[in-house]
Amino acid sequence: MSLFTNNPALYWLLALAAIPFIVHLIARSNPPVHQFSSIAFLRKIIKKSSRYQKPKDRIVLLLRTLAAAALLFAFVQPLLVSDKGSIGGDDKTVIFVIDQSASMAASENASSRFTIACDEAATILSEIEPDSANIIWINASPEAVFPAPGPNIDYLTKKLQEATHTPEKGSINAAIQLALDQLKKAKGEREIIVISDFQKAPWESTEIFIPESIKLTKLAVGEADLANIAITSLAAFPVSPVSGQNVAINAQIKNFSDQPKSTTVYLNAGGGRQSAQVEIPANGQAETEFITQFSHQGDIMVTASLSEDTYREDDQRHTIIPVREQLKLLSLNKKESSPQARVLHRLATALTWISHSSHSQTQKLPSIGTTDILFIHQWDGDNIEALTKLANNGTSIIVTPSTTCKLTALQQLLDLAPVNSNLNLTSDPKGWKAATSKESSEVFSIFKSGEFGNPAQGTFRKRFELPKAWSNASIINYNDGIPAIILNRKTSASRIIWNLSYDPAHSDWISQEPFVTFMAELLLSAQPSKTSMDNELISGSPLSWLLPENIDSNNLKLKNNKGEELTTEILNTTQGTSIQSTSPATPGIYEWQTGSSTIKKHFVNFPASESDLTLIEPDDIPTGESAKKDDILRAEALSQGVPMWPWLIGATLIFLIAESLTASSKKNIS
Amino acid sequence: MSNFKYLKPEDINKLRNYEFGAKALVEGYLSGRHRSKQRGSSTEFHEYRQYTPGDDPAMVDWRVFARSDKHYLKTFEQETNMECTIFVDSSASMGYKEKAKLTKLEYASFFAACLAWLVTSKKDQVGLQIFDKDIRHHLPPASTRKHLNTMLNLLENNEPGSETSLAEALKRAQPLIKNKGTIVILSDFFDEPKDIFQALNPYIHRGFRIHLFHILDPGEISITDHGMSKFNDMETNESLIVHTTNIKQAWEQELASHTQALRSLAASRKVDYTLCATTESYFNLFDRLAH
Repeated sequence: MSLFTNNPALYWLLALAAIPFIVHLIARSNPPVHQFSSIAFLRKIIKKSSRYQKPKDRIVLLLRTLAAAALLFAFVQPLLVSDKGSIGGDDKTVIFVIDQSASMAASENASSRFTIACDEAATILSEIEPDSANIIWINASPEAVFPAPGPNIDYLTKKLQEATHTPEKGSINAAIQLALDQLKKAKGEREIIVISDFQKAPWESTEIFIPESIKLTKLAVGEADLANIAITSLAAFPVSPVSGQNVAINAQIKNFSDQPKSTTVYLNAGGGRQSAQVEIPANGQAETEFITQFSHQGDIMVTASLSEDTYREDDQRHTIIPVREQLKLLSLNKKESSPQARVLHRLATALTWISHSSHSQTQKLPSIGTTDILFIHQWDGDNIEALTKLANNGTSIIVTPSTTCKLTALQQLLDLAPVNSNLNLTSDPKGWKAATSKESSEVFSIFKSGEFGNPAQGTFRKRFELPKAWSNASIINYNDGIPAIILNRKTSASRIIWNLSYDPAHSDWISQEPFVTFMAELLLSAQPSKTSMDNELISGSPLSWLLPENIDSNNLKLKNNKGEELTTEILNTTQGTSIQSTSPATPGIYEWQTGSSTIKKHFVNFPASESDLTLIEPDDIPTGESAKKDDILRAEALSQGVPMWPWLIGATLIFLIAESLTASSKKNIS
Repeated sequence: MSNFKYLKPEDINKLRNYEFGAKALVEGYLSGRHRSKQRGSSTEFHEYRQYTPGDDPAMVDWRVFARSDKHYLKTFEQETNMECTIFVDSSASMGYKEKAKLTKLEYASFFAACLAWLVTSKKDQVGLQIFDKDIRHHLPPASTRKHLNTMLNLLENNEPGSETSLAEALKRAQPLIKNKGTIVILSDFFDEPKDIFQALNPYIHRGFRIHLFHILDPGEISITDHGMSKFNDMETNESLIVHTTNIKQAWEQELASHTQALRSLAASRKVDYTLCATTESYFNLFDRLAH
């Protein structure tokens, strides 16, 4: 802070502040003389009152001197100027970076945080009157009102009045970077004012780098952490069930408060409704599972919702469950028609939800996504990388090794413990028995009751001597501990080593009653569970769809779940023709329609990270200075110079009142 | 008509209506309650009246008894030889005046002159003691016209003197006042109340009727706000610088305490005490004498 004066020539007036003191001295040294009858009484009084009177006199004199000094100093017209203020004539460019993310919808008393942020920005903008200014919104795709900071403050104020929050995550760094880019060309004083609730989740992990020449001010608008309950996840298992299959729909509910909460979760799955009461611990989460079935194939819209709480944005979550008619099972055989392939074909005939096709291994591996389960008979151990890639992308792999296959290939495919032995095929006319070794596996859940017998019931006369060391990964072992079926499901798809012969020449397993049941359960459990991201779009991004070749973009309409049609635009990209909405997506379910038929569905969910309305102090972010609106206005006023004369006049009055009160104060000294 | 400074013709006219005042001095206080030790001091015949039990046998006219064999008393116009002594404080402080037209001494002198006229007009005797720290003038009681003129001259030529000591003056006056009577003290009483009443005690024991008239200028009763001022003591010539605003309340409290002490001591000794401001008419003081 510095003090400047408009009338330094009048500094001599300050010398007059000594007048009360001089008057006091003169009055004492040469007071008017009065003849008095007796001063004995006066002496007595003075003796009694001197202890009180002397300090009082000095205080009165001090107050008079101060009053005179304050009054005289007002004539000098001092200005209080901030040391950080701009030098007169410098341009000032201010960019407001305003958080528009979903958490800004939280209400603080009657207004949302975003409304408060816009109001404060408008106030600051009108008060500090920068030479040029701009507004950048922190949302999923930060954008500025002007391409570069401009002088049209009125337009910015209008934009602040019109703006609403978005149900999106905020890309903080992108917004700050955009502000920095715009300020690069600006001259003079440059400032970024970030107005946000400083939600803990996004801001805690954000690092901001600002050049020293640019001032960063952080202005918090959220007053307190708000209690909130949100559905943060909604998932179906299996992800893409076949019609008639039991589907578990799992909803995850989080409680962002210090108190345990109870709420009701409602599920609407393809028109079927269910509800469940959920108890959620303080600052914890709970899951509730709804079991349902879908009788027809197609994309089923599922919505889970909560009883409304203070923050309603995240009380609903959507998903689309693609229900399929059949699982695609592809078997690769060395011979055109192997006994194993015939068995699988007969199995598929019995299980109508399986679509089986058989190919010779001379063919290339199927492309990703074209089959659910790939069954390779007499695998030589080749194409491990391609198979691994297929598995990672959601195709379950089942292999029965050939005599030329090496253990290392099996070990590599299933990521098993390494062993130093060879793979030998052995046979025993008496055969071996096998039994489940991991009854907790979901494959055997139906067998737990004993109603369906032993899934590996039968006698097996031929097998590979797989290392017993792998038996801990197997779900069925021979009685002597040799692994019969090894199952690995580390990714969304299963990888299985099949060492349980179902060739009628080498076992009687297929004639056993539990065989079909076991195979059905195994194939269902091997069903890929990888979530298809094709249907889900991120809130704030455009609703975009890369059109298949057979779809005519001209007849496509995009409708939201209220039936309202949204405007779209067609983009020609290198990948093909794409159609997308002109406005960013908000949470909900959207349908692409041609005529009256829906050909594609998309859903958009509230960004789960925005549900935690816990805040951090702006000071906890190391970059920049935190301030309140009034601080910014005061600093601005200081930078321009605050005239002190009204304060000095006020001080004079206060001193005079104090002097009057002190002088008139009476103390009973009798 | 009077040509004296302190006894104006208009005052004399007014005083004629204050007859009761002198009567109270003489009759209201003494008649039938005290016997005069001074027999035959008054010679003006009043009337004969028949003896009643309780009358002084010495007053019986034996000549009438010899002639009529009846007891008659020969009464005179005054039964007692009344003496009133006026003490006028003439210390320097009595020369003070601020808000009034008269100094305290002038005020006291006017009252003393009127009182003297009133007393002598009823053939009673009046004496005068002019004092400061000592007796400056002593005029023994008498009731003649010449005596009154002497008294008025003394008052007229009197000037405020030096320091005051009423107690000392009363002590010194004690042998000078031989006959019991009334004592009227006109002073500003800037003296310790205990000392004053200690000096008055012999008079009280001798049966004097005492009136204290505490004469103050309004500027003393409520000190005038002069701001920072240097006060010169009129008696000692000492000076003191004070801010009158600061001491105004304390002064009033101190004066109230002083007058209350005087009032209390006076009441306990059946002494009449009156506080009077010099702006009041001194004729009001005669009312006090009538009580």
